[in-house]
Amino acid sequence: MDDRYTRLVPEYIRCFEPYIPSPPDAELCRRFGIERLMRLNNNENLCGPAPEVRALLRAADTGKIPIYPSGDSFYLREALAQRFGKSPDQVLVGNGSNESITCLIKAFCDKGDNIVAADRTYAVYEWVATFSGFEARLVPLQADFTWDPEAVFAAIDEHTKIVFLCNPNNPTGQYWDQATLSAFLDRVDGRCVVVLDEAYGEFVDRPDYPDGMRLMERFPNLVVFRTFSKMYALASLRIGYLTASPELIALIRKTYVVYSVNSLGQLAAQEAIAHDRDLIADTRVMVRQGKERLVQTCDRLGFRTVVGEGNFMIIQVPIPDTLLYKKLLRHGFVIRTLTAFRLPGWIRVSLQPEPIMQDFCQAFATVFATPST
Amino acid sequence: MSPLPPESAPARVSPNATPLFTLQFPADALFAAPLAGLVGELATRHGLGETRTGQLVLAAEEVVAYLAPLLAGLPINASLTTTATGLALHFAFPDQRTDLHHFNLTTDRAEYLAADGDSSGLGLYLAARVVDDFGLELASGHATITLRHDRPFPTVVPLAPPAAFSGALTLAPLATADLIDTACAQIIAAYPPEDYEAVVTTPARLAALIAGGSHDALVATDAAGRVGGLLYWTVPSARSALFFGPYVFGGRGSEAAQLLCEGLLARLGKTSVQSVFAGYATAQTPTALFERILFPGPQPRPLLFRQIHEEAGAVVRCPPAFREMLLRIYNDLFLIRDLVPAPSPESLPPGRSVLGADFDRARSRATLRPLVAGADLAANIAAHVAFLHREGIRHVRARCDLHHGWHAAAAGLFGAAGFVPVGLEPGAGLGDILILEHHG
Repeated sequence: MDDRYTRLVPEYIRCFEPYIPSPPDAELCRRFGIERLMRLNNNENLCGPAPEVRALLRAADTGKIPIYPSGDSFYLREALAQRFGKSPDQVLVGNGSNESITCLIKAFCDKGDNIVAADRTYAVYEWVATFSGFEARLVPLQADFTWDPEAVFAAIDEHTKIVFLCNPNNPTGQYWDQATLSAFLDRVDGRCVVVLDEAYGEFVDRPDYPDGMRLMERFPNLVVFRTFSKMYALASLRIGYLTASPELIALIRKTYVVYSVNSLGQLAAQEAIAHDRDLIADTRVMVRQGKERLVQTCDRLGFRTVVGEGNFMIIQVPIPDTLLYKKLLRHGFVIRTLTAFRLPGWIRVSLQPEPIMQDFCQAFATVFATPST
Repeated sequence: MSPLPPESAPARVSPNATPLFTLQFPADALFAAPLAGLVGELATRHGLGETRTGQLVLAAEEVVAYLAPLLAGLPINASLTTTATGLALHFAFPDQRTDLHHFNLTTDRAEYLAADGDSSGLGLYLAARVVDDFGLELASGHATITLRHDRPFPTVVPLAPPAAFSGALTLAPLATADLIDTACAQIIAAYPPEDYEAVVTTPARLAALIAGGSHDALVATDAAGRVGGLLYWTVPSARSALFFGPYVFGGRGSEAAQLLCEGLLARLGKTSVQSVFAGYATAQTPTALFERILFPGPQPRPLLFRQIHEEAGAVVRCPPAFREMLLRIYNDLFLIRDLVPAPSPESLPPGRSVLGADFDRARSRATLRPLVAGADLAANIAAHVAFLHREGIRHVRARCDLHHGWHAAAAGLFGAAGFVPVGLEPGAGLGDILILEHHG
């Protein structure tokens, strides 16, 4: 690389390794010589979006395409506030949760500060902190893939500004229950911001699963992230939001770049939360069935599985996960390898409706039945 | 095939290292002696000892004497920096007015061969021969020659590994110098010499390389702190890592090996490393964690590798003679590659080529790297092979990055000169690196 430009870049940028997304489906099909591709790597929800959302998008008024969207997602914030019993000044909408993560770190971290996250979790917390010049303190998951609150608490120091808790965790599916989370927040006692990333919260149907929207009334340092990309099946429209106390939102808002959420996305999201009951119920059934089928397949193959919450599960395989990725691609399936999550030899599989899961399980078993395939 | 370790394990110069001195002087042999005097004084102060200081001084003089007539008064920037294991002397200079072929180690081969061993005029080669590591980089109109030389390190005394361990084996939070020392001593006692690199015999050097950042290591210990295993690695390029081990001891070798190899992969998981290769894979390497590359011919050791990140295919330039072989290997590895024919040797640009060379004298091995394309490449390859064989080097290898069309063309020319493919490192360079070896 030309040193004229490299020298202009901070050391933490020079050392940062960018993430290269997977090529588009058509390109992958061409390279691997396959006719169809099914992505089981991004935890998308093929049950959705809801019929009302599809209808809205079909009827979209293209005459409004030249017009800027609402700069701060005015009506969507109102709708979300009403849904969760908040005021609109407790909600910020962004271009996916990644924008929320970035804004939060920009708002709170200064030179010498750090953030705390799990070592095996959604990677973007670590990425944004690292390429912004802040330390990402990564607390290891335990052998059973749970996150020890004691260890997390021990990692917090006077320079810790944010603790990111992905609940349930991606990729392991484990979660802190109401009692664990409340006890942790009591101990933190407002010394730093705690982010409860509930990207997969709508998939959880457990009585002890904590509701961050309620907890933030008791713990004003709590920020809740949610997204329309997972359960609501609007991933291509890129809409995420965060909810917090008005005081926190006023600070975070300083780093938000307005106009980042497009008009169609805002409309679709409003429609989605207005018509989500059936989608959530149907999806939960689909996920449960998908888990059962895939666990059965893995049991037959003798592979270890970790089945937590969320629309995915992880599997330990007896070959390199990156080799399995290539083999399954030849069968038309994309899975997520977990070496990059510091889990070498494991894969994460998104759960999708039948007959996709049936086809996947067949391909998965075939790969291990015939090494040359 | 034999494993493919780096030809040497140079101590990386810290990017933040402050030079012990920086001098700019016109290219003139007049400056060789003052420079050598300064280098000698500082090398002594930094513990290189009499013999090794003398070697570095000699190399410095040879380089200046060699460059002086070539550069004819152009400025040379010389700097001396500390490395984790010794010193590095750099010569940076503009190459616009220099015919780059002078940086072939064999540039004066004709005179040399005609004079039956008179090595005058082989200054770069002489310099390369006396220091631990010699490097030449060419970029953007500038050239840099780097001479690295280590201070002496004590040789380890073998130590019998523990007979038993207590509690679970875990990865030590830090690979301290004490742990490295114990592990190396146990390796010497438990493994035959062909299973480890020379650096294992000088654990203080390995510990210094780790502290300096060019190497990293994991040590498995039991509840009592006994050493159950060691695995270390280096990152020779931003995209590839090379590991050594796992060296494991006692009756729980497979447990330690699994722990160490999984630890390695987890450590590399969020780095720029795309592929990891086994340098000296031991018999205890958990094969389920790696892929095996099979080449025609006998393989004393498996060539193990695995990718760290998901790979969705790449384009490689392919010499026609190796197309079928590469297709088979790519198919075996489930690697998607668009094989584009390499340009013909006739399409190489006019002018003279340059080959870089690295040396592993302990194994009587040199490795050639194409640096500058030129129409005389076939003749240059032949000259290098003849020269190196004459110097008593038995194994001559070449590394060609199949991302570059002209490297692929060079691979074809190496093949025509008697080299045969012995290794492939997917994704180790900008593309896949094909390794060839001359069996003459």
